[in-house]
Amino acid sequence: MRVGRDIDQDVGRGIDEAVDAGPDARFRQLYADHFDAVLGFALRRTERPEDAADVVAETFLVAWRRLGHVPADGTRPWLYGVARRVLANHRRGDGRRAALGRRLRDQLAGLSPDVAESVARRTDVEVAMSRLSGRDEEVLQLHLWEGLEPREIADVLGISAAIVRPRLSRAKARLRDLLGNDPGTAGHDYSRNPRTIGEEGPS
Amino acid sequence: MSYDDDRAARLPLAEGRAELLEEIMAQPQTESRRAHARWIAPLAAAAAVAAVVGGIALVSRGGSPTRGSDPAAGGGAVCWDGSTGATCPAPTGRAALPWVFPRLAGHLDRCVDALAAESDDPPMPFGTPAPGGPSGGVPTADRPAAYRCDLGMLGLDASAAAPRVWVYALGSDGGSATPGESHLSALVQRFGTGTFSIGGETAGPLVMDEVGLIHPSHLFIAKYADYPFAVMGYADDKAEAEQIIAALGARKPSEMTAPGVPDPSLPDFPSQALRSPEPTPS
Repeated sequence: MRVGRDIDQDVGRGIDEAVDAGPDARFRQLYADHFDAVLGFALRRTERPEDAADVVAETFLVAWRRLGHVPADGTRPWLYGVARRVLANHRRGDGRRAALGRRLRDQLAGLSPDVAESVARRTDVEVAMSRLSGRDEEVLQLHLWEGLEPREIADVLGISAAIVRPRLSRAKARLRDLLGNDPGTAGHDYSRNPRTIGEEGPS
Repeated sequence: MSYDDDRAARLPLAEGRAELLEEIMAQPQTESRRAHARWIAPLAAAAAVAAVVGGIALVSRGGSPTRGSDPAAGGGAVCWDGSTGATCPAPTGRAALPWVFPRLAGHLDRCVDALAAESDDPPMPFGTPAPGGPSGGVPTADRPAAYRCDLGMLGLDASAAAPRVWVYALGSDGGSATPGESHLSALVQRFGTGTFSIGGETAGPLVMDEVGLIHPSHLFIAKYADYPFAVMGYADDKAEAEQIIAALGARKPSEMTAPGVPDPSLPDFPSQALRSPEPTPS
């Protein structure tokens, strides 16, 4: 499975090359490498696709403005961390509608019937996950949906991996209790390298 | 949702995706020039977590608390701790929050021990939790008393555009400085780019950091220079930060130890602070 760190190593090479060409080239590379992941991250956490467009726009705007702070190794968890805060702002009603990305928002809004279908097909796993505490659910989503290892999850959440590991184990155990079986499913394509509950990656 | 990244990649968004890229790159690249961005970002994250604690809707009060009044004129002037001396002890701890920020009167129940409920979600200025300690984090003996009052949904007229405000009481209730207070003080002193004033009186250092995530554009931290209390929130500039602080009714430094007369419009001020139970760590 190509998890965040693996992917970062791949795209990191592209970024390294882009750095020499200046911030514009580096950002274009970053945008190309991570747009789909950030969009997927947002789509999986918003009810309306157009809201995901706002999250994507704000997340990459932050990346642009703080390009010097974006780590070459760990870019994706960094972006997820920003997207997570942007989402939190939106959920609290604090977020402004992004002035940017209007066309992207319109295009995503046009996907509504598709989204409705996907919502209707919410899996038992997702329903069970929603019954976990917010913190357990979030750490499990980052693990199962985004394919992040505990250390990467720690980067996203701004906490230590030592805290993430037991929390993740606890979340898995609780999910197991709720489901009575393994969860499966992920935002990433796990068919290429499936991860089953109870499996801990290196950290 | 059933969106995986591959499916997201197949969505017909080429035009919107390309247009967004150009729009973003047309924006000024306002990279923070200050080194403290490295710690202020996690601080913003901690603030976002704090917001989950819940908003607090301070009831709009018609009057403003009377404070710093001449005790003789007021008859029955008291201090934040209920004493009636000519000079009050320096306010400290959670119980003094309504004294320092009178708009908090009646809402101390929303001031939580910032480190108790979730040891891994401390306000970052207080340090990173050490693994293996009680509650999975900071050893109890080293934990600073840091009561965080989430004033989201405050409804302050002066800060309508900046609805999120956090107030901190640092240091132990016993009055001694804790590592948490010392740490924050050091950070603010180091990174503060100016000072904030209350009623024309300089109160302490002010940190303004570009956030970029939300509007207004800056996260600010204002800490009293001589007292263990701080305010954090969002503002576009120093003037707006000071407006927010003023809207909390923040006490001038020169009035911190002056007895005040309880305002009838705030029936629980200041005695409410004495009755309020200490928060129970969860």
